[in-house]
Amino acid sequence: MLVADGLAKTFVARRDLLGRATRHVAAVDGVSFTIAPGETLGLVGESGSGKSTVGRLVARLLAVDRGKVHLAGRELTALRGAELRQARRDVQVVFQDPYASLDPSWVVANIVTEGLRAYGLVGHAEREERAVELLELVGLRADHVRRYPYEFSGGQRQRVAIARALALEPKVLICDEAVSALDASTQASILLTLEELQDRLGLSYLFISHDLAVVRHVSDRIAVMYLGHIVETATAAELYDDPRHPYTQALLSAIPTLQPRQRDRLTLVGDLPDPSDPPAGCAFHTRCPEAFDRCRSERPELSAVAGSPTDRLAACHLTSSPTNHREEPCPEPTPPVPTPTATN
Amino acid sequence: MNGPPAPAAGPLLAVEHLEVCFATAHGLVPVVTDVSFTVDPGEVVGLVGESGCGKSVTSLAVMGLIPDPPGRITGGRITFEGDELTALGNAAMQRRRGNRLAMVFQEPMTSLDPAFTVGEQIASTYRRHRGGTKREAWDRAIEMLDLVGIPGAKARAGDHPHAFSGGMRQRVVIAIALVCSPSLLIADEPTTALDVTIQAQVLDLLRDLQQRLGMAIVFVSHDLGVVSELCDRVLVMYAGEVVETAPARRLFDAPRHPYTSGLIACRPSERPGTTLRPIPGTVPAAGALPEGCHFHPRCAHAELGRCDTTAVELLDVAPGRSARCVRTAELQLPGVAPP
Amino acid sequence: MTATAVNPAAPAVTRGESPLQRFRRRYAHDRAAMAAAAVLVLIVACAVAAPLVAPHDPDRQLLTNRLQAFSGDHLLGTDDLGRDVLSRLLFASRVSLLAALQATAIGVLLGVPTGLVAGYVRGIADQLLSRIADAMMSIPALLLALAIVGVLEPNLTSAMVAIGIVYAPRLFRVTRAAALEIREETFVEAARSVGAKPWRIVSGHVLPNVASPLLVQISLSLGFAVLFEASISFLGLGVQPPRASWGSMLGRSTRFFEQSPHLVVVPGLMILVTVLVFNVIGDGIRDALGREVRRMQ
Repeated sequence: MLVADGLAKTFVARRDLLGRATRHVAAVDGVSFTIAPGETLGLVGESGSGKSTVGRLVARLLAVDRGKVHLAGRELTALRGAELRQARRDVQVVFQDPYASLDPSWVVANIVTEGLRAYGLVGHAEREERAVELLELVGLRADHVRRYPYEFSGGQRQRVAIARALALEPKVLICDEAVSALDASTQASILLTLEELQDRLGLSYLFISHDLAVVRHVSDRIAVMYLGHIVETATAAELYDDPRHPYTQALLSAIPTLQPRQRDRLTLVGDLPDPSDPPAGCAFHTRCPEAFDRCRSERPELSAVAGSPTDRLAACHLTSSPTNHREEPCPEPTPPVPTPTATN
Repeated sequence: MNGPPAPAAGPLLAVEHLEVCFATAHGLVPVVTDVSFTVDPGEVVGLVGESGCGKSVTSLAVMGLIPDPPGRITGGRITFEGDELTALGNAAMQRRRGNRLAMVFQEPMTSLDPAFTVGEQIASTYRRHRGGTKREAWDRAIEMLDLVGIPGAKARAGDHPHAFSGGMRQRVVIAIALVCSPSLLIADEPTTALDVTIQAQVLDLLRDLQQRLGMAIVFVSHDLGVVSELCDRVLVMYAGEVVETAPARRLFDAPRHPYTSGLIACRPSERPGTTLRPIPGTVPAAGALPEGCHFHPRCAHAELGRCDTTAVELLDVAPGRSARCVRTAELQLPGVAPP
Repeated sequence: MTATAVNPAAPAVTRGESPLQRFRRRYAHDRAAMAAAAVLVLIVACAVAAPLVAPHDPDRQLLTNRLQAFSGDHLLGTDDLGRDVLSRLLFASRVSLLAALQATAIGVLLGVPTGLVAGYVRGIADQLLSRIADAMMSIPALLLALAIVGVLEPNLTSAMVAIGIVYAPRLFRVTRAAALEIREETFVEAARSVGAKPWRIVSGHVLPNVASPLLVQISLSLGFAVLFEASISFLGLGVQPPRASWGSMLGRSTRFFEQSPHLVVVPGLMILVTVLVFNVIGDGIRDALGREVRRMQ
């Protein structure tokens, strides 16, 4: 359904007095993934990973510097003007902040039907009717339709935002940290609604979040991002049970859990490197507990994980060779050994 | 008061029936009602609840930082190291703040003054309470930066806050809080604004410092998981009241209040692959609390006639455990699913 | 799987008020602002009803009755040509207020759309318009107005146009600043994502949210326009006799200050009160529209 191919986007971090750019940040650098119809792809990363930028690139809210996005066979990135506007209907976004994504001076009915009116799909008379339909779809009531956003709670506002996104009957919904600003119980409730809607409407989701627990629950497959690159892709179950990339391992072990600790805590050393001056070689090597020489000089490509039955991908020198070096980092690959079991 | 006092018998901090009200357009609204708990020396106590439950207000009340107007402590007593904090004037509280008890806030970006170097900020806190020369204070500042794990402390002491990342800034804030070796540290959502891997680092740091320095910590958070990693005992708050207290492990394995059980059930990480069960409804507004048990409209176990008539007391249900629920003895509430 | 999409415990959302109702309620609480509004209504009412209320014909000269002080027949006395001051004042109100309104309207028409374009579209348009606005604002206001009046004929219309042009850059700046802020808001990004065209976004989202600071500015600029028109007419370059505005009345009467100070004080007081009233109303609007102070719950 959705194919992203080699997306890249660079921002200017600083300009000199004459307005010339002096520092650049490669927020996204060569990101590719696919989403099948009805599937949820989780995109996980911390701040500076570029995941939000990827969301905006796919939604065409930002222009790509490099790379392509295909939707149902059509190349979105090649469209301009009126054609692009038409194509927007297929990819909609639910934003993070329910307090900022709704215009405080508009009533909910108008907010939800904004898209329909923009494309001339609904006349003045049917506006309210359609609004009621949409609100009921997301679990709100018909008598909410003429209220203002300030009268709703965070969770309810997010439902309004979802209703707005669904109004144009998109094929892909991008949830950009859609539940991150909500309380735990509200989060759960919105996640359930999103799942229901996916089943009912057959949507594909690109679920962007920093919260790996939420992503694991909601996604079929997950892609982990670090400093503008995807470092691992796998199904949700595989990623959770048997993470291969050291960053994913650290991320998982850092999730606070109520159950007695099952995973050894893999605490990363140091901070995120300056995104405008990323490390040479593998971007993660400065914090990686298993880095060795090759990691410092050569950037690993996202490639198939050796010995895995499904098509898992990881960008790590440890996984791309047929041996697993987890216990003993060494510069040369040794003769193949059987794939070890996960350390759980 | 400059150095630490002789250890007193009894708890380090005792909050008794605390009530805090805020003045609004509709009159005086109670935001925290009947909150009582104690903290022993060296103990780590968690204060957990969703937004609007009153946990932050409680911690601000202990520090004497409730903005007045519009807020006021209207009832109860807070005793710290034998002194009744609620009876102290501002000057006396200022002598203790940053010295005997200290607070760390959520936002590392705004907790530090951008105009001064981090070394200056740590040193000035030290000098205000301990006096001494600039040299001594500066050395102490470097010592603290080392203690909180900032590499190259000597050089970094001369940097301004904007030169540090979020996680590092939070470490600096912790350094400022601990510079006078307080016996109590109150941490209000200190890791909420941080990335999860950085959060893990800061939690490790807090745990390490607590073991080394032996101070008590009151850890306020909405995240049950974070609280369970760090705390010995946990208090759960809802709509301005404490609804359950228990040792951390026991609380999560076998909660005695439906709200606690509900919070556990709606966490995605606890039940990979199973359905989330959200708590229906929303938190009531402070001025519009339901009759009887504040939680009953949302409670799956509420019984008409018992739960919606009279206010519910916080009662002991086991040694070291209490719950504010009339049905607690009858209910078998699910906790964390076994792995 | 929980089947129902409707949250059974979704509370009935409390009956709320529209932003307009909220504004009205908050404004009504502000005593000073309400008093100022009442005074303004009075002044406007008198101006509108001048032909009915004025005791004498404002242009009727009676040279035997010159420079009279307050009396029963002439409540505010007579001027140097024997004309009733009160009647002249009432008719002058129409001139001054209308001039202020029209001048502000010109300022809004010139400044607001350009401000919206500059703030939302940015780019070359923004650069160009901002530089023009900067240039205009670097010239002292009165000088610029006099220059414009000098180019056109000295009469009331020219004065209005001049004031409008002088004030336009200020309205441009306020509008542009607000537009710059609004365009970064998430709901604008959301509007783009649902396919709204820029024009729709500007008129539907940017403009209503820009209205708050703009209304304040307009109220202040009405006061400013009254003062400005008075200055220009004082110098004889605005309204031409026999019509009068407060400024021209004042201007003609300075010579007679020693004999008949009331001829200067009365129109001067009218200007003072009117400008003050507009300023207080402007403050009241700003307070009533201001962002809710976040209250801890």
